[in-house]
Amino acid sequence: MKRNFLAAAAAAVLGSAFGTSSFAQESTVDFSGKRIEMIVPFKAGGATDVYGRFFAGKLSDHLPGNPTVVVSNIPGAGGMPGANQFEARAEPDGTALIAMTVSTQLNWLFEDPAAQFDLKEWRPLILTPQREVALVHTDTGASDPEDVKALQDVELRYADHSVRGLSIFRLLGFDGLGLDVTPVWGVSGGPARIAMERGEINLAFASSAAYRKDYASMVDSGIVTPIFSYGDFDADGNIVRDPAFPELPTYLELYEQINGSDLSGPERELYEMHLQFTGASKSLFLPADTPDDIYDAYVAAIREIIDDPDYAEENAKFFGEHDQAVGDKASANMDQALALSDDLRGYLGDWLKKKYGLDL
Amino acid sequence: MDVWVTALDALTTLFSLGHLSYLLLGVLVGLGVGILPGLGGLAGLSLLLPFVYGMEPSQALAMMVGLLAITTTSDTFPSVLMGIPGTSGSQATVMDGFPMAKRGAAARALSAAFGASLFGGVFGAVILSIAILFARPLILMMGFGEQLMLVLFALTMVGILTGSHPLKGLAACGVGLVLGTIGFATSTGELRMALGQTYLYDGFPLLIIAIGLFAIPEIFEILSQKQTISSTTQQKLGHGMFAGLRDVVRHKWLVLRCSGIGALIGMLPGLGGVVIDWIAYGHVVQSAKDKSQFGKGDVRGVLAPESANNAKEGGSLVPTLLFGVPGSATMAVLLGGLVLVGIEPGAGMVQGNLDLTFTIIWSLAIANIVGTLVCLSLVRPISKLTTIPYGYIGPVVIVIVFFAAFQATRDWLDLIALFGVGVLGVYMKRFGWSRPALLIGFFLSKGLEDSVYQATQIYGVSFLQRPIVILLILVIIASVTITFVRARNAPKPDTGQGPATRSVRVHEMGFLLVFAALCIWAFFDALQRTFLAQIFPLGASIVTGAILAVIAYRFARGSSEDSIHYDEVRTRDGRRTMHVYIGWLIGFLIAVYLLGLVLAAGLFVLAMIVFELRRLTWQGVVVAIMVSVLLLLLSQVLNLKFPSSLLQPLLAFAS
Repeated sequence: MKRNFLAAAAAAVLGSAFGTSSFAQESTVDFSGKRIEMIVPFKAGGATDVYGRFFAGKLSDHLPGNPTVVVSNIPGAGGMPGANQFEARAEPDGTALIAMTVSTQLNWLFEDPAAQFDLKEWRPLILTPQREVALVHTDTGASDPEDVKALQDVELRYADHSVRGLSIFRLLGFDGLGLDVTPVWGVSGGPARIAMERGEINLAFASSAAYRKDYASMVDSGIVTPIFSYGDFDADGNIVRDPAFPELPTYLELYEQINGSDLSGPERELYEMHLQFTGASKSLFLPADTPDDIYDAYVAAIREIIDDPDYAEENAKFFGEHDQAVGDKASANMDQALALSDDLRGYLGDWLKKKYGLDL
Repeated sequence: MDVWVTALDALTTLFSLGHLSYLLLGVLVGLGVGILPGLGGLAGLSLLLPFVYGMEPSQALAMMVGLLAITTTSDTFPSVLMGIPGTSGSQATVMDGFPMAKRGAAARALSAAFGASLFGGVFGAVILSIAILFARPLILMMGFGEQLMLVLFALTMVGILTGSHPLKGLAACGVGLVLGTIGFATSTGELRMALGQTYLYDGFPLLIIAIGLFAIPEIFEILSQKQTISSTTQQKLGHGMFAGLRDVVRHKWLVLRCSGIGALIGMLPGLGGVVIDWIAYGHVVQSAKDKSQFGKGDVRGVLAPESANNAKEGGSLVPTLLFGVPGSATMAVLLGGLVLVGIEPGAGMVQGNLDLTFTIIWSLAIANIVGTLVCLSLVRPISKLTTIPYGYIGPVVIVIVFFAAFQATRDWLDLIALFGVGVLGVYMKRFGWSRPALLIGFFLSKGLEDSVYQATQIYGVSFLQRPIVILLILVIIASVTITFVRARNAPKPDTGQGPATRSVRVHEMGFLLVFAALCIWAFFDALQRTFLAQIFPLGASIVTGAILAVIAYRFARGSSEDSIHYDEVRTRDGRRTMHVYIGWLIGFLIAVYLLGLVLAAGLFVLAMIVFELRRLTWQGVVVAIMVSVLLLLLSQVLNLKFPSSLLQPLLAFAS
């Protein structure tokens, strides 16, 4: 009962964000005795699973009626079978939600025939950013961002999981800086970090969490050096330096410094899209056609979880220093991220074919 | 030194009641999933993982490591007693363990295996505790070129596991390589041979290949013999436990060597857990003077893989903890578990969380000791299983392996794929094609293709000049030479087959065409890909196709005494029996489709028991009900979804 009261109170406080009707509807949503299924389209213990489970237990405490929230892992094929199943079976009554990761969203965006779901219709609850930095091995002769110009004459090798995913945006970005980059696919995460330490690859990217965990010590011992961050959005939607790396120039700054002009045209649009996707690195969605009152109850619960002082320490570790996009903000960001026009797609496909001989 | 203080502290913490009980809980679960054929540490950890979130880290660690440590010990039970690998890491144990059980020496085989497992497991823990302080440079030396050489080295083990004829062994390996190319090509992201099924995007699940090839054929064979597994009487079964332990002592250097192999290969990037038992088995066959008994029940063939596969756990924890890079698929899940409880292995783990690191090491050692004792105490009762008419056991095991297969991706296609691979395994066994060779080829296919691509992408061909690469090339050449020379000098093995009749030739040729069709399909599929994605499948399918052509020629034109001919089932009745059992599997799948797994499993078990025993017994009814109830419990407790069925809406309680 106390929790319900708190939920209602929180909804009242946040009411302005949802419009005036939400408080009245709040009381009608009740999940007492319900069993809510959270689909995680990846295997247990993976990053998306950890993200989902972080919320699963807490949602149970914060949703009206304290429903049981169970996690179902449907792994394989880049998350598409899990997302397809969610699309096919999830009822829009609040008893099903899905934890997503950016690569599955990109599969949809690039029209993978296996992606049988309509991401645009789903209702995003929260988008959690993982902003990125680019690093180079000091063997390349670069020791800080000032040296990037010199990197144009170096053979750069960059490792990533596969061309499917954000790597295409990253490669486009490197190209914009005039860097000659050879991608090595099939190597990511820990193995990529070791390959970097061995000097087998000399260009890498890291989220701020991965940077702290994996690369900070290598930066200290002078093996690698960060050269730029991809930047972050401030509250007004301007691109600013990443708060986790305030001393590093953003990609935009570096681009201007090297090319003497601002980033513009399709490359600019794709760069901003890239930034929207790193802003939605992990996310939760309700199915299409979920009524507003249920959606609002979820949004209220998630806001409570994020702001709950009891979770302050856990939250700080989990979310880092970047702003979470919740509710309407999540919807707005997702719309921007998914707005890949045919022209833009054509541009990206042509570039990939010409530069690397690969098909989008 | 501080390290030792921390080590002792960790030990004291572990012996506190809370931790010890979690460790024992892990051991208990691990014992169960290890004994059940097909389920192993990977499945066990995946089942436990949902409960780990939010647990106190050191307790969760004790539980997970306890589970891992014992599955590689308890998986020996089905390997030895039923000829079905308990986990994908204990396939090699079947080669000699099962023949020992058949001749009534099950207890000796088991206790030898457990003794070796204990030594290997503790050895792995010791290596781990040293390695976390010193292994960093070693792992950093193993670049992409070195990893490629390790994969090639593992591939040479195929030379020892060629089965009834070397050419057919090589062809089976080639077929494995071709099958391994299904799914995304790493180098370009293109899909190969996926038939539009998302199921095949990540390639065929290894678990399905492993269970299908090894479990289904053995179940059929024992069922068709209409008897118990052990041919000796019940009284003698418990004997030989001490003989088994004495075997461990007698072959102590072998056990030590194989433990070393297991720990080292587990530690190095590139190979993962699945082939370690085969490498150890290959090593013992390669190094033994008297090879005549291998495959017929030589205890050394049990000691080698068992010591290696327990030692590998300690080994593969090294990169997992030091770099946060899982050394095997199981470690990847463990890594997930660590992350779930808030531990982030990686560069800082050993310095920052030395106490937790030692909790892992101690848990590994203690769980191995406790696990071995538990397993030893179970040898007598469980060995008695081999004296129960197989009519009871067979149907239950079929249900278990299908359940295990469904854990691969929890997709209906898991069941169909297991059926397909199972039938393939049945025919491979019948016609003397080496199943281990196919498995090794399949497992190494992706690693081989990727590491060639990555090494050349990074180094061009200059990786061949790196010192460790050169060293490994020499090892590979030595391994191949030894195998080749010894094979030439060895007396021609007698396959026990009479001259090939026309009917034998027709049948074996028919089966060969299945492999040939696969190669042709792979070839034409590859032609549609870009260069980087086609080069490997083209090469693999052309070479395999050429070997198949030579075999086909000898099938058709060669002498009827040629040892290339092989057909275990030559009578019309024998073939009918095989087809009847395949029919049972189809019936089971249809029943699952109609009724859902829970009900179908019970009905199937009951029907098949009646068919096998030719009568309805109350024991049969009890077994059938127990199977259904257990599955129902599992689905409820672990929130497992079973394959969707037609009548599911009507049978909500049992889905």
